[in-house]
Amino acid sequence: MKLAELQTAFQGAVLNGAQPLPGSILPSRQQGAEERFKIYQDAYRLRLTEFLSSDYPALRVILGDDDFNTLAAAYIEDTPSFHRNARWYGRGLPDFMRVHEPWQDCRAVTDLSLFERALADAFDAADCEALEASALGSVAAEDQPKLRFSFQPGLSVLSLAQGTAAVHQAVSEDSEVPTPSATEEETVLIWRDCSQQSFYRVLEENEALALDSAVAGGTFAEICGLLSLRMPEDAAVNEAAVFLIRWFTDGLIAGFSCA
Amino acid sequence: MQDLSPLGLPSRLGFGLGLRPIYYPDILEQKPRVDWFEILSENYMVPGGRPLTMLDRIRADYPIVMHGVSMSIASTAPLDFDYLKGLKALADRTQPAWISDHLCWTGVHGLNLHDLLPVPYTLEALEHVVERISRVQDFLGRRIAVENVSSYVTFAESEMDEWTFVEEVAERADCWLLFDVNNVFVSACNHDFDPQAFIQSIKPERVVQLHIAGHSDFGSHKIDTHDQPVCDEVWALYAEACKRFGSASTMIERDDNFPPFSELLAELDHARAIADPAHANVAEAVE
Repeated sequence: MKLAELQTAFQGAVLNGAQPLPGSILPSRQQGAEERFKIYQDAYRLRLTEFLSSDYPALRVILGDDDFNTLAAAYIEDTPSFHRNARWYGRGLPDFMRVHEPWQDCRAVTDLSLFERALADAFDAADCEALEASALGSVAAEDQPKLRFSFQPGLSVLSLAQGTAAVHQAVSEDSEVPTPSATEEETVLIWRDCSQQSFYRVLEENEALALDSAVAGGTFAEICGLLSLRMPEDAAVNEAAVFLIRWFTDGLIAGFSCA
Repeated sequence: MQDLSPLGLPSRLGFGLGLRPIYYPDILEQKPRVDWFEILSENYMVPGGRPLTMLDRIRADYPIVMHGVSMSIASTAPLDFDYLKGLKALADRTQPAWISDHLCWTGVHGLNLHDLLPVPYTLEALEHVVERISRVQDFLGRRIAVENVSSYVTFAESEMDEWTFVEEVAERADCWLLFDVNNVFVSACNHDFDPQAFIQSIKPERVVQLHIAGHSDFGSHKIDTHDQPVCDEVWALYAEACKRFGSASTMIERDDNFPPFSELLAELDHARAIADPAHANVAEAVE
């Protein structure tokens, strides 16, 4: 058998146990050919399951080992790796869970996987200097309404089942795990600051509205406009300014423009 | 391209360990007596963040060697130049003493099985691998080292011994070898060959580095798991390897079931104790 044919047959039989293994595999003194080949079939599944366990530790705790392994097995059979780097293999797990039973009917676990994926993405996102609020000192007062902001590459704003962040925290602290809401949502901000630490916090409704708008490219005036639907205009401007200062303090903001 | 003369082996680095995140605090706080660290290249081929920050900090105090698992040098799929560009960028940043990967393939048709898959020891495979190593060395502008892997199957197609294949690859591609002592031991048990035959067939001037590690014994076969201390039989084989490859840098691999860092340092001291008399013997022989 030529090398290319052998590799195609070998890979096919590792991925799909139902495929015949390459006929050229010889037995050893102690093992038959099938038993020897099974080492590679088992190693493939074990290794990818380890990647998923590493990326989704809280999900593994919440599901329990058996159910997590069932999920991992389903994902692995559905999703071969096209990545040279194991880091990216598990990124598709939340999307897989959202369209496959039984996980699609359980928002609490699907959202926990989204939360953990965002934490992983923040962890090794591209480095970017955080801007300090004092940088705004160069902006003329008449230009301030036109301010738009860019954010750290690892920043995510997620709408999740209410209680998802608390579940993650409880698992991390090995404390009693709360039950997320089946109907209510929370907005969670996840980011990494210049100290290379990843953080998250649950946003209250007004800040969530403002940050959503800012991340989508909304101007400071547009952010104030959104908030003014919920409060008097002066209060909206003050509130937007308070949020902005906090985003600078937290190291979320990478740049701004006044165009 | 570096000087690729047979005498172009880099300076001996001494005794190293794998750089694993669990040990970052030990390394940064204790500045332990480890001569160098080997990184898994792919773990640092990420956009940014803590992995690269930690690597930069540790690189400031220690020499680094880059060791990859995804070059897939024996694959019949096209070389992945995006991967190689990433590898080169990491090398530019890290300035490693050398770059290594495995004499294996990891997938075809765009897929990656994330495993070090075995090669049939045929002339066809030999020529294929040699051609690819040459292209990779040209692209990276430096000689690379390739490592013999543990294997669990034997192919009827094979036309030569593994050690003949490995030695021929090194000679024809003009690359270095990362001689993995544990892999020789594991494969010798799984395929019933004499590990001494392997050691004695490899030319010392090609061997830039030695790996030692632990493995798991399943009775009918052994698997290269890197989750156990180095066993007595592998230490004994390491002593034999030191006699032949005296000047090669040594590194202990540990990738799971991580012990306290002090235990790895003790293993490294054990390697030093074994290797030093061997180095003395080599020096005497040269004199």
